[in-house]
Amino acid sequence: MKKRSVAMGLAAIMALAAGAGSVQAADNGEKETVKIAVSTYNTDWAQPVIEAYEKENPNVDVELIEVSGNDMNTKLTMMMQSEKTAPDVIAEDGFMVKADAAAGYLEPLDDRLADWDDFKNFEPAILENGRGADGKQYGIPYSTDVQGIWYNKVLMEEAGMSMPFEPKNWDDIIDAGKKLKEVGGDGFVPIALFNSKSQGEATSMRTFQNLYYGTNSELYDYDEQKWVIDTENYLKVLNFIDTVYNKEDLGGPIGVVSANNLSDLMKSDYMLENKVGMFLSADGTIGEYKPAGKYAWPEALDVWGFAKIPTVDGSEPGYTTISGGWTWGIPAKASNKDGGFELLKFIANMENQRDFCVRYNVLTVRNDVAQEDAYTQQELSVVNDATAMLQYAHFRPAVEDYASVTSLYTDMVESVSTGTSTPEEALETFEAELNRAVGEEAILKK
Amino acid sequence: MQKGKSKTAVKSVLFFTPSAALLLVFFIGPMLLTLFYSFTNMSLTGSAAQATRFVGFENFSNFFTDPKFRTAFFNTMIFLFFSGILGQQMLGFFVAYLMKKKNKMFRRIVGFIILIGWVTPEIVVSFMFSAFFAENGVLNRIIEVFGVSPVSWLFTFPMVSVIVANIWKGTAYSMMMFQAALDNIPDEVVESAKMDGANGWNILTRITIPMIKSTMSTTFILITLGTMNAFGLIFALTGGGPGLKTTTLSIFMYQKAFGAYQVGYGMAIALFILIIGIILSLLYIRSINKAK
Repeated sequence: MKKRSVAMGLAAIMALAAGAGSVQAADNGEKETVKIAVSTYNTDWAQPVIEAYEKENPNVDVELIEVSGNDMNTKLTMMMQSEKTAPDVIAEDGFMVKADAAAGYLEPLDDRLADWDDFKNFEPAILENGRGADGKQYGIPYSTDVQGIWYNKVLMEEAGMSMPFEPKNWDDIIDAGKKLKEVGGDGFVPIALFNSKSQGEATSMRTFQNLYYGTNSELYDYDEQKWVIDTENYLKVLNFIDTVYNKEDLGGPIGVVSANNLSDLMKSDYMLENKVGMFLSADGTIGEYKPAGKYAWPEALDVWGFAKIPTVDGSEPGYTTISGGWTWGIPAKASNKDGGFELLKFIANMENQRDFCVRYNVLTVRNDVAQEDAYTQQELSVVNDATAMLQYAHFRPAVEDYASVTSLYTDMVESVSTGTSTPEEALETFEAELNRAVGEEAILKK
Repeated sequence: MQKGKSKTAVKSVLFFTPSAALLLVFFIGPMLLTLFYSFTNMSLTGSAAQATRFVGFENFSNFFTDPKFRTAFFNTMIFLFFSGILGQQMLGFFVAYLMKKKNKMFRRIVGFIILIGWVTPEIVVSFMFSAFFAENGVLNRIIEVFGVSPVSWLFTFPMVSVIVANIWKGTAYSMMMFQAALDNIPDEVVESAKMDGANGWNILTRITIPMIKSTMSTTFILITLGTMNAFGLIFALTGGGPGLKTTTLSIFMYQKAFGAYQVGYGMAIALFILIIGIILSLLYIRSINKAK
């Protein structure tokens, strides 16, 4: 008897719980839900924007999904595979758009964009970053950047170098590294580069491809539709890395610089305490030192300068850089695409884009934002220098295979920086891996 | 009589069905799917995600041509042998054996300390050892006292670090299994052996070990399978690095499937891990049965 009543009691509780759950669902049935997936790096900008949107649209409930980590792109790709998990708006790195579009994960936006008057303010040249291989627009770019050499003016002056630092070729960079090493202390990092697999796309883009384009060569031949292995120039990049980490020991303690939080470590610690001499990274790096940033440091630009990256030997056009960029997209399996697009129009409008670019120190893709004083006169920003560097900008190969190939560039860098392979061995391994990834017919070897 | 038998049979099938169904849906089903997809070029993104096609044994032929696969296999075997077999299995037995005659309080304390490793979540263990092995971590502080200069453990001795972490984490399991097995050896057998003049070593090798053979093989198998699947601990501690130094097959599989988006290849690797596990288990069972 007792057992029976206990069982019945439990059953009643479970039924109640189930019932209560469905009652709650009925209450939310009145409001429209829009789910947006944003990187954890951008949530503090996103939250007030979402609140403003919800205020203007009281019948809309915006659900913010935070996606974190260096494997964010993989997570997003997986989320988009199912109706149950696909958000209505996603922030996606531009290099993933071609692959995800070819996989059918993204919704083509051309029709919706034709009705959106504000779209004319987006710089046409950058729109390529959000296009699929079929020419349709799958993503709206919302940022871009350039890479340069952040250099420590204080330490360089101490080392007897004249300012400003303007390297004309890669040997100048190595020489500067050697001089800085003499004034740095224990655990000093003369030249900080993204170098390991755990740092993800940064190693491939901000180190390998960034430097490689400085040899005035291509990674992909669009006419032949083949991946290019330009042996001599690949080796120039790998030899530079070998020199930094092995031959001249200018890369800093490898256990520290190969950790996945290199960027945060530099910004939070090493740059503030003169423990690093040069850092090859994006123009936006200094953004964390703004009053609104994580580590407010008004004198940041007194200590740190931003130099253009020279070509390997100074040959024309003299400088090089690589530009990335993120896009807003709508998954093909989203349950509320119209709601998603309405939200997208709001977050991509002039004011919100201007605030985003100023907050994160990225370059804008909107021509109207580029004219705003709030943008051009930002404190603690090198936005005007960076905009001038766009003329030397190269882009990551805009092909769907890129998503598979980029990790191979990363592997190449890491095997040289850790001393596991010589540059020649690393290149050989890369060739074999590329073969496996895209097939022999898609490779052009020089 | 017949009626009774068939009734029992029906009852057995009825009780057997739920677990069989679960096994089918959550284990055999996915395994068959993995087998199927490992023969394709399935990818997480790109046109291959939409138009997956059959590629035959291409993914498997990579096992022979991909030097990274060989490295991952080699690392897995080293990790398995040192942390699983030599580490957890032997250490577990050793501790259980030494604790046999001690008093209850001692057994409780020692047992508890070792158990902490087992109940601590994998990711917490990774963070603990990350701090322990760090440049300015606990281990370096300790050796500095003895005048030894600090070592970047996770970079210079990555495999040793992950092996130590895994041993710390998993020894409790085999210790408990062996404790139970050793407790089941009747005292009279040991007493009579002593009276016949057997010394400690003889008792150990000719009585104790033979009597716990089935426990040994069970723990062997479970530790092997568990270690082959070890992912979180290594991934959080070293990420498989530096370079490929701690990349085991499971980490390699993750990198190929989710880092390089080549799911087909990743599935082939997963199958390979399963097959190795099965082969090793069969070998253990065979050698134990032979010895009987």
